[in-house]
Amino acid sequence: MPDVIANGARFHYELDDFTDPWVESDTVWLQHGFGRSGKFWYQWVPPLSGKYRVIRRDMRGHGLSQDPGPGHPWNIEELLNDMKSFLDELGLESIHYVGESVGAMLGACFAARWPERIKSLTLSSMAMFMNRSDYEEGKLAPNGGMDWPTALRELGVGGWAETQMVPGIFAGMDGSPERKKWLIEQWNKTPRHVAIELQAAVMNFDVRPFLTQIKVPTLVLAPSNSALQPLERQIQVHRMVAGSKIAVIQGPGHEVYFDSAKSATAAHRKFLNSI
Amino acid sequence: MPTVVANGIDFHYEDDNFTDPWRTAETIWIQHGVGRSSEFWHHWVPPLASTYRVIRRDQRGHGRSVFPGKDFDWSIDDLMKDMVEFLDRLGLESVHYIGESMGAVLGVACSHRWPERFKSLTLCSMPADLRPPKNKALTVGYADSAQAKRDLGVAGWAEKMIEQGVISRGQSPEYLKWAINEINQTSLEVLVGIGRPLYTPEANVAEMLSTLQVPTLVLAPTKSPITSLEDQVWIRDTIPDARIEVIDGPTHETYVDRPLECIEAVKDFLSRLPSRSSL
Repeated sequence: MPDVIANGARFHYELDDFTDPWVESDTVWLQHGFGRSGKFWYQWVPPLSGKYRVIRRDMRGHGLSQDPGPGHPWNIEELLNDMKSFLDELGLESIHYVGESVGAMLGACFAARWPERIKSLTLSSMAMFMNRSDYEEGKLAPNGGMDWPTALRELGVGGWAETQMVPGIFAGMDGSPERKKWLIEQWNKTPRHVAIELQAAVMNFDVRPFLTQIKVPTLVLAPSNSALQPLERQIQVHRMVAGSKIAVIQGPGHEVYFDSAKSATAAHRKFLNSI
Repeated sequence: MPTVVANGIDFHYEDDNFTDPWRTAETIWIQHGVGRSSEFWHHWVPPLASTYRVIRRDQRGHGRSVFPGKDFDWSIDDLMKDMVEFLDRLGLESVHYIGESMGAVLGVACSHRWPERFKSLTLCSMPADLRPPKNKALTVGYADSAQAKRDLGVAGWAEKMIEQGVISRGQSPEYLKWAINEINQTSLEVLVGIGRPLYTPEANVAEMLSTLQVPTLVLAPTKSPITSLEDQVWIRDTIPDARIEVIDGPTHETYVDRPLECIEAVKDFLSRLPSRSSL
């Protein structure tokens, strides 16, 4: 329901809090990645919200957050400042952060730069960098036989996401047709120009230099069977973040935070309890 | 957060749903008892809201629901009308109802009159019989409970109820402070008013139990000063095909003292109901 103005843009977020009103509770920030929205995290709210205030923010241009319009100069620096400003505007000193895909990459950079604002960092299915051949040219990501930007333009965001709903990749590849339909509908809420322009910006995103700088408690949630991020890559992430923990989450593809929410949230809770 | 107008007044309610969005989940309606509010049930939401839409309504004049005015003529009939209109306004065909104490009494009355609106009934610490001397924990030496409330004031009455074990002091002094403060939000007129109909013939739900047609779970407290385990067993025996779970807690308010046991019992009960709803 609420909105906040941060870094010059309006951001929508959901706050779910079933914590005891007579105790001070920590906040968990769940951050979605490319083309998605806070709605994709709904399964994470019940397991967390009895003990934590749960915030799900819609990234710039996504969900119900303000669309900057076509031709916006998307850049990682701005996305990081969006996050810092969001915390400042909400008066949140420090939080537990959970990010998936690009949300995880941003979280890693944020934690390296502003460790005092991050109580813990959880990286779900994070890529260390987005290799052009794997993603843009479609070596691993099908893109309907086109390159990524063309697929987004021709098929729309939902249409492109549907090409990814194959084993090893996106949620929606199994389960009911209604589930797949809902997922495609959600992807389709992202404006085409936002997806195309953000995609261009993240192709140059490499978080490797930041990983070794992270000093906050970190959990790597590694998908057991992601075609986009094989386990070896996730282990590399774990090695580069000193003191980090790694949990392998069994699932049919890349989006284990969604497909295997029960085990992902259990691993996350275990991690939070261990800090 | 939201409110809805039913039977002429604004009812505040909480509406939480974290079920799969491509399905229509069944709804659980949680109804608190005298002097309390939907806030007292916040901890029940996370364990239930992955599977059910959970609605917690603030009773007339309680929590953030509108004060009906000191001249409001409290009656079971009106309180029931509030409830069926609440269901209508929310477009809820039928719900799983969890009522605590007086909330349970109202649940029996409503499901007796409108069985088609209730998929199931959970009676948490429902008093079977409040005729003297069974209500002495409520009258605390006064002629009746209304006199007690008027003389003690809301805060004083709450303290007395805590002493008696009708209201729980919870697991920490912080809880106690919070609970008393929350109860204090209720005006004296409402506290006195809502208690009165419990002593009218319409509140004698004992007569309705044998003809209840809704699957029922009795959550029986072991140490409530206003309802004995024997009374709870009698309730279970009187309602056709009802189920009983004994919840061993230190006070009448088992949903505060033993929430995990209560919720476990409710989830098990609900999962065993014959599924009649469509997805």
